[in-house]
Amino acid sequence: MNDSHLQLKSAPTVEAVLDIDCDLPPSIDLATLDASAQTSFGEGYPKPRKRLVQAMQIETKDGEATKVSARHGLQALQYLAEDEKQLVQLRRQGYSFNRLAPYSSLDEYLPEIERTWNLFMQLATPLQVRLIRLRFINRLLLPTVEGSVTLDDYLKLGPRLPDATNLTLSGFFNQHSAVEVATGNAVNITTATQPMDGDKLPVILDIDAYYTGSMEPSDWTQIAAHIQSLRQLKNLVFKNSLTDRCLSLFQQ
Amino acid sequence: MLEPVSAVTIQLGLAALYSLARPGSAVSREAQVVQQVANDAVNSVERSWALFGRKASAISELSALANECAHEGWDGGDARPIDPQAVSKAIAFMRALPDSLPLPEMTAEPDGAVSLDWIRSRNRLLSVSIGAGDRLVFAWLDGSDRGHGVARFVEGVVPARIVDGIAAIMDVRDAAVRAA
Repeated sequence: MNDSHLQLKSAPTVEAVLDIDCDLPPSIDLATLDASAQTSFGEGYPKPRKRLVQAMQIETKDGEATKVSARHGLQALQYLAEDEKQLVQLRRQGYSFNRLAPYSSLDEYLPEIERTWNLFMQLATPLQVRLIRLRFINRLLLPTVEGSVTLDDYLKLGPRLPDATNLTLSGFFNQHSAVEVATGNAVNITTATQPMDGDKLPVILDIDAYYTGSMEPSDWTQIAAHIQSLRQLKNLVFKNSLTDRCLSLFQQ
Repeated sequence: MLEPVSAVTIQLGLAALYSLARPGSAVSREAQVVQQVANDAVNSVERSWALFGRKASAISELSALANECAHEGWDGGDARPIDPQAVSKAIAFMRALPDSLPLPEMTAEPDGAVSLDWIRSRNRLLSVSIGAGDRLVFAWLDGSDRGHGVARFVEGVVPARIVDGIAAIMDVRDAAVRAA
């Protein structure tokens, strides 16, 4: 997470996602865009994939055997870079840009986001932007001593047990939702543990900041301004969720 | 430490949790972990009759309706099969309804959408049509007054206009359900 005002030597970000949700023309069918999207995105993203959703159907009629069938729906067309660390998605709700680790800085990815957004606009002709979302999923590897870690040493928003003497924390999942008064941006902050990784305890810090409002798809200046505003909120949440000791882990 | 809680945004309820539990645009293993634990939390809440029983029954009814209308011509005419995405959206919509609102009657529409209807009497009703996308088309009749509109179902939050409309048609006076 080497963003402006937040310089970390080894960012714990395992995935950064920018979603731009929009109204697409009612007549548009994602599947029919695949061939032209492969041509448009092919140079930087030569690996096409489809993301499907599956709906199960169970049919029971008197005197007949139960029939189970599955129907698939196309959720997104995905175009991955050769190393599969970066991808662009055409979703039913709009556009997504995903960057997996190693992550450097949003400044580095923004020109590519603008370029691929323009390609998306040519392909899908969105009518209106409805939502911009910036989601950063971080994996914090907290050092343990003899299998234990004092979470308060690393997390400012750590969990609390009702009886710290007789109970030992074996995992947690915590979510906060908030609205930034000045901007109207909203944020969901999720923390969750994963199973031990060697002598480290992995904690996921998922910061999902979003803005809901109408924008012209062609007005990149306005879209970029909202992205920057969400980035500031995301950085504020990141810094204020972690102790200095935790932040120092990412300076090594 | 006590934190201020907004009476407006607290109405979001479990919307953020439901949003995390759905497949999103993120692709990493960690995103799947978050989705899984959010799903576990949702399942835990929804196993409770007190917290979710009424809605669970309604969702079960909707699933039965989806089965009945899953084939072409289910109405004896040329109706399209009910759209599984519309069913998913309708389920998400019912999950997100404030608990103090009554639950709707449900019907399939010939174009594959799902109609949720709140019917107080023949002259007082509100209907929301839910298709595969985020658009909610709604119409209401209140005596000699009538109207219609389009709203969005975004981030698992039922639009204020629809919450207010249902509360007005169904005479729900509990201020807690009034959207800001």
